[in-house]
Amino acid sequence: MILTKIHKIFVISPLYFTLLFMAFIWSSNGHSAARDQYNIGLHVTPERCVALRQGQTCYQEVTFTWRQSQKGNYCLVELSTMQVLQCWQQVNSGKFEWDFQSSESREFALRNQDTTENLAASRITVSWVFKSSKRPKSSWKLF
Amino acid sequence: MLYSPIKKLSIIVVLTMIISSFANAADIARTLRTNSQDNNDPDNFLEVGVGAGAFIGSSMSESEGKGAGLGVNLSASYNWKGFFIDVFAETGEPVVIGYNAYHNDVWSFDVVLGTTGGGISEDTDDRFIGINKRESSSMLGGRLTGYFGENILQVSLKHDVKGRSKGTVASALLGRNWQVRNWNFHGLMGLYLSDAKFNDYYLGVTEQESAVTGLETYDGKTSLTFNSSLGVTYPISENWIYRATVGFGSNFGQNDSSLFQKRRNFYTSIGTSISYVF
Repeated sequence: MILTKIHKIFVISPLYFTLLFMAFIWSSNGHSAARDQYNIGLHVTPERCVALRQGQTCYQEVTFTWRQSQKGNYCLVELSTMQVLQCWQQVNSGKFEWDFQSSESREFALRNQDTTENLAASRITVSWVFKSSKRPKSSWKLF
Repeated sequence: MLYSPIKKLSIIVVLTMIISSFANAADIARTLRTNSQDNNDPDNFLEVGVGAGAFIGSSMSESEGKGAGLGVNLSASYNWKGFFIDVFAETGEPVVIGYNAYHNDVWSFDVVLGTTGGGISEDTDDRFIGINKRESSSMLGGRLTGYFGENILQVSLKHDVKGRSKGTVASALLGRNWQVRNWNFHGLMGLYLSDAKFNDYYLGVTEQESAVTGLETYDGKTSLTFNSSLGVTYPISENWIYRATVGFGSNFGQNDSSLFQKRRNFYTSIGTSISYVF
């Protein structure tokens, strides 16, 4: 009888372990976007995307929030490609949710719609668990 | 499972293997789970983790042949100028020392020396009081790995150079990985051949041992087993990873031995763990 109970507990353990982990992931994604949106500047949460291996595409749902002192026409720009992600008209704050997908860290900036001046900037850093280095090419060494 | 006779010594050992390295998946699982491609392996690392696992199959020490438990796992790899040493790093052996003799974008050939770990002894189960202790084998051989996009093929051939079993084992594995957002899945299937000498050393029961233990005499035979696994790895942070895997395989040709208390033709396993990567 005792053995049976132990077995049941242990058999449940992997499932419990998985549920606990998924709860952890869910809670860790809900960063403090609300806290940042009232500060002047451009904020992104989360700021870090973690891939398993160096060179992999990293996926992360991110939220940009920004606030300026004056109303105007503003655009959110990805600086390496100059891709305009979103523009706003006659507002002094905004929020934009975006599906970040990149194997490298990216810089973002808030600009006035008709200028190239960065009013505020933010960065999403891509990191990884396993560094991946190409082995040097070689020929047969034994024979 | 390459060295299943050894792994089946106890449920705990099996669980440890499931948790630590998804041993059913054997040699190429690390490459698959890190989603490496084009012969691009990760650098040196050390992992320490905790996990849980469950197993149902053949067993020498458990009458029901099933169990589950929690465990701590350690895994490490160090590479230097073509030489490498892997400790519980996705291989069927606890420690593998090797040398990468050839490498290009598609093919890689390693000379490997691995120890199988210890065999059964009187401590394994009360039924084995008076039995001869099986020692570990030192398996020297080669493994050829081919990288074809997201598919990996590996064949290996190894011989016991320590001379305990004088046995030979061979394997052919086919694996594939794929990424779904930051979840890294891998699938792996393989055939494992163990010759009669290898199986006889670890699974055989001599007349002398039979007279002492009461176990039925058994001569090991060449066996061909099938193993497969499906797993997923998720990077929680730069240093923490989560893993889960399920395994399924056959025990044909190995579980005929009277050393087994519970005999099943197939095994199923499940394991999950969280590890810290230094």
